[in-house]
Amino acid sequence: MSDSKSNNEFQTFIEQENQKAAIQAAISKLTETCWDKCIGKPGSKLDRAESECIANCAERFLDSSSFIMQRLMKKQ
Amino acid sequence: MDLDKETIERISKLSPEERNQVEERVKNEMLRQVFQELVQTISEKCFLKCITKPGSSLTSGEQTCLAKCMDRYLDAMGIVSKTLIERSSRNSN
Repeated sequence: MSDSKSNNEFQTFIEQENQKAAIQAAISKLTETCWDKCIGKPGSKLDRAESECIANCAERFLDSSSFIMQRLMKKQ
Repeated sequence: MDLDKETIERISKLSPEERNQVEERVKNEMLRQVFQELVQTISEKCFLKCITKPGSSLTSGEQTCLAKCMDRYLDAMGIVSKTLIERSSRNSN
């Protein structure tokens, strides 16, 4: 295997790891935000309302950020 | 994580075995960081929920709350991951 080929492979590896880290970071951030919004006193399981709230919260957060992005682009 | 020229140069001189070792270490390091951040976040969130009035030691009630809180936090994270995965597959169709 030539050096330049294996170098590219290593750079691809690093890019993939960076991408995984970015996804992980997004999940962590969203969990934090939605935990604060949705969860009261921790029980022995998440009740239905809490689970729904978490799922809706994650979806609406993403909707909100694309809404904000579109609106900001229009202002440019 | 960005690679500078010098690092790429040095990595190009490694044997395939050494390169694999480097990759393993990178993966382990990433995992360690994720784990450490998770511990930090859960501690903070659950401390706020469970330890309302810090006393001279953790009471058993507080420990029960911390344990439940941690499990629920992981549940919540699972729902968020699942929601993101479903959404990304919906968007790519």
